[in-house]
Amino acid sequence: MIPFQMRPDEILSEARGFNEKLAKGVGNLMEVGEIPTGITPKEVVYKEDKLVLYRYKSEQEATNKTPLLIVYALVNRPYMADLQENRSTIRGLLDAGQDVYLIDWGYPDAADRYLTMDDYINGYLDRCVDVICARHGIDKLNLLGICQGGAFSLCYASMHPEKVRNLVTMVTPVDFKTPDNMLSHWVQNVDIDLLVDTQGNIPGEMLNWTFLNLKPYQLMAQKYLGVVDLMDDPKALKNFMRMEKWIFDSPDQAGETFRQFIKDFFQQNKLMKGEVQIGEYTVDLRKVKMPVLNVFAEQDHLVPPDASRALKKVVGSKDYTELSFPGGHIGIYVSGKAQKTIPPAIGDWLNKR
Amino acid sequence: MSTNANSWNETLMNDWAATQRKYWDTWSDFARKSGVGGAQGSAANPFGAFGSFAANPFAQNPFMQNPFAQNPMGGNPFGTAANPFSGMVDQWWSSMKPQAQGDIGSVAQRFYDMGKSFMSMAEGMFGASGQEQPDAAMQMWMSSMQAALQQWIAQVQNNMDLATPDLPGVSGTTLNTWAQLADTLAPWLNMSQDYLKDIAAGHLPGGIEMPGLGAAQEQFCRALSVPGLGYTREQQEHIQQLARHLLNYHEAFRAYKIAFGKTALASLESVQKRLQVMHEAGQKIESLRALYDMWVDASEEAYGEFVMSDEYQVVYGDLVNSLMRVRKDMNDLAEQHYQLMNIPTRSEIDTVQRRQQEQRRENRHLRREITELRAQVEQLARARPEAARPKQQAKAPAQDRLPIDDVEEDLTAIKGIGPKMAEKLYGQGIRNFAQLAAMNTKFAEQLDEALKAQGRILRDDWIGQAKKLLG
Repeated sequence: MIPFQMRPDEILSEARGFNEKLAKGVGNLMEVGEIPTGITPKEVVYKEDKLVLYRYKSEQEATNKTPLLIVYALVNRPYMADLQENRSTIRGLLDAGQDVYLIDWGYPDAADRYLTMDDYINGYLDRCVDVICARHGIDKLNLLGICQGGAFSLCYASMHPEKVRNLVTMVTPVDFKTPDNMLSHWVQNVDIDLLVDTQGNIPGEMLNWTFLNLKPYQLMAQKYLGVVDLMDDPKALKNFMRMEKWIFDSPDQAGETFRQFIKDFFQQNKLMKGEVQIGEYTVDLRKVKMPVLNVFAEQDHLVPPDASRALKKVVGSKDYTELSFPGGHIGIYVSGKAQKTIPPAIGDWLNKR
Repeated sequence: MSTNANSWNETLMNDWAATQRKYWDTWSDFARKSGVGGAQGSAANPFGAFGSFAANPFAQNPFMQNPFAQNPMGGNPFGTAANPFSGMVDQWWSSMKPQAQGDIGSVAQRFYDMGKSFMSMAEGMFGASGQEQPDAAMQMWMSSMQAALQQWIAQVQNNMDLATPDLPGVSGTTLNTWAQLADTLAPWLNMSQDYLKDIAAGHLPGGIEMPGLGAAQEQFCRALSVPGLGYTREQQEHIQQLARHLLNYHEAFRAYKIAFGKTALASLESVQKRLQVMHEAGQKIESLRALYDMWVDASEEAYGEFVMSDEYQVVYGDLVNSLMRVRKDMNDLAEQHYQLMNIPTRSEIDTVQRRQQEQRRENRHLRREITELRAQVEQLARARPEAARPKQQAKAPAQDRLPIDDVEEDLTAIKGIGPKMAEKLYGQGIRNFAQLAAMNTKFAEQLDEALKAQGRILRDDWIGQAKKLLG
C-alpha cells in the first residue's frame, strides 16, 4: 500500500500550476538585471597584490574602541557577510558598536600559485593587522575568522598572540577527522601533491563541484523547486539570485596553500595535534590564551559542529565560550533568525572584553 | 515584463501561455471525462494506449510510452521519453534557452533541470493514479525504475567507450558536471578506447593526416607528431604512457559511474522503505511536492551513507588521481614541443615564479628587520643623549662667520674635494684655501652636515691641507 492518494485531476492541476509558475518565474528571472553584491558602504584602507583591506562605514560611532577584523575563506567571496540590507552580518556587527574591517583576498591567478599559508597568514594577514593597529594606535585587535578563514585566524592567534585581543571563530573546522566529515572522508585517497603539481591553482569550479556534491539532491534540485513559489516576487527573486551568484562565485585557490591546507589539516589533522608548521612557527593552539568565542551551526553539512566544538579541548584560553545556531553553514549569515541573534551576540561578547 | 528591452520575453510568454493553456485544458478534459475518481480503469488514461515500455530500456514509467519521443534515452529519475508534462517544460525551454545566457542563463538551466524531473515524477504519478489498481501501478513504476537503473549499470560495465546514456536524475547531474569539468582540464578524454589500447601497445600514430579518425583522435595525432623530427624513443614512451593513463582514467570513471548507479538504486530502495513506514504509520502524501520532498530526503540519506563508505573514498580518489595523471602527461608532452620550438615552458615559468615568491618573502622579512633595527638604533641613541652631548659642549662654539674673501681658487687641489664638492663649497661662500684654513672644528662639523660630506672635512683634514697649500 502506498500512502499517496491523489486523483488524476489533482495531480494535473498541481502539475499545471507548477509549470506555469516555473515559466513565469524564469521569465522574471531573466529580467532581474544586475545583481549588486555587498550593500554596506566601505572604504579601501590598504592594498597589496590582489588583496584589499576594507573598513565599513557606520552611521554611528563605534562604541567598541578595539577594531574587529573579519577574515574570510579563500574559497569564497566575502559579500556573503554583507548580502542585503536586512541580511548582513557586517551591518549587524556595526549596529552592535564594532568598528569593522574585512580582508578581501581577491581572485588568485596562475602567478599566485606559490602563495603559501605562511604568505597568507604571516604575510598578508599580519600586515593587515599592523595597518589597522597603526591606524588606531593600538597593539591588539579583535579577530573574527569564518570557515577556512577561521582556521587561518586560529593559526594567526597562536603565532601572534600579542596582536589579538579577542578571537571569534565562525563555522571553523578544528578537528578534521570527526566521523561525519564528508569532505575529509573524500580527500583521504586523493594524491594532493600530484593534483597541485599538475594543476597549479585549484580551479574554483572543482571546489564548487565538491561542495555541491555534499548534498546534491537538495543543492542541485530541491532548492530550485522551493524557489519557484517565490519567483513572482521580484525582490525575493533578486535575493535568491544574490545567493546563487555567491555560491557559484568561487575563486581558484593558490596551489601551495591548497597543498598544505588539505594535507596538513584534512589528511593529517595536524591542527589538533599541534604539528602544523607555518613559516618559522609551529602552530600550538595552547598558545591561544585570549578570550575565544566559537560560533557554529548545528546543521552544518560542510563543517560538522563536532569539528568546531573540538576547539574547546585544544585551545589554551580560559575564557572560552560556545555559541551554537540551529541552522546550516550558510544560514548562519543569511537567515533572518541568524541575523537577529548572531551579530548582536558577538558584539555583546566583544564589548564585555 | 513591460519594458521595451524585454519585449521578446513578453511575446514569448504570451505565446507560450496560450499554447500551454490549450494543452492543459485538453488534459483536464481527459481527466474529467475519465471520471476523476481515478479507479475507472486504465482505458480512461490517455497514456494507456502508448504501448509497451519494454521497448525502451530507459522507460521507467510504464504508463506512458510516447512513440514520438525525441530523446530515446530520457534524462531523469522519474520519467522517460514519453513525457506529456515535462515535454511542455522542454518546449518552453527550447524557446527560452537562446535568451538565457551568462550567470542568469546557468541559473535558469538549473531551474529547467529541476522542473523537468519534477514534471516527470508528476507523469509517473498521473499514470499510476489512472490505473485500476493504483498501488500495484506504483509498485510497477518503481520496479521499472529499478530495472532501468540495473540495466544502466550493466551497460556501463560492459561498454568500453563512453557512449553510455546519462544516468537519470541528480546522480546524472553530478556525473555530467564532473565530465564537463574533466573535459576542461584535459581534452582527448572522449577518444576511442580501442584506439588508446592500440597506442598503449606501441602502435603509434603515423603522420599528421590520419584519414578515418574521429575528431578527438585526429587532434591527438596532431598534438603528438612533431613535424620533421619523428618519434624519439623517449617520446614514444611518453605517448604510450599517456595512452595507458587515458585508459586508466576511463576505468576509474567507469567505476565511479557504477558507484553512482548503485547509489541511485539505494536511493530508490530508501524511498520505498519510507513509503512503507509512512503507510504503516497511517501518514498520507497529498501533493506532488510532498512526494518530491520525501523523495529527495530519502535519496539524500542513501547518498550520504554511500559517500561516507570506504568504497566511495577509493573510487573518488582514483577518479581525481587518474585524471591528474593524464593531465600531467599532456603537460609533459606539450613541454617537449615547446622546448623544440624554443618557447618557454610552464615548468620554467614555475621555477621563476617560485624563486620570485621566495625572494618577495625574503624581502618582506628583511624590510621588517631593517625597520626593527632602525627603531632599536634610534632608541639607543635617545637613551644616551647626556653621554653624547658633554663632549660636544666641551668644544669651542662654532665661528659666526669666516673671513669675507672673493678670491677664487681651485679647491679640488685638496684631497677629498671633487668638482661637485667644490661647487657645493662655492655655494656656501667658501671659495679659497684661506677661508678653509680659517675654520675651527665646530664650524667644520656644521659645514660637514650642511654639505652632507659624511665627516670627510675632518677625516681628510681639509683645514690642515689648506694651511699646507697656503704654505
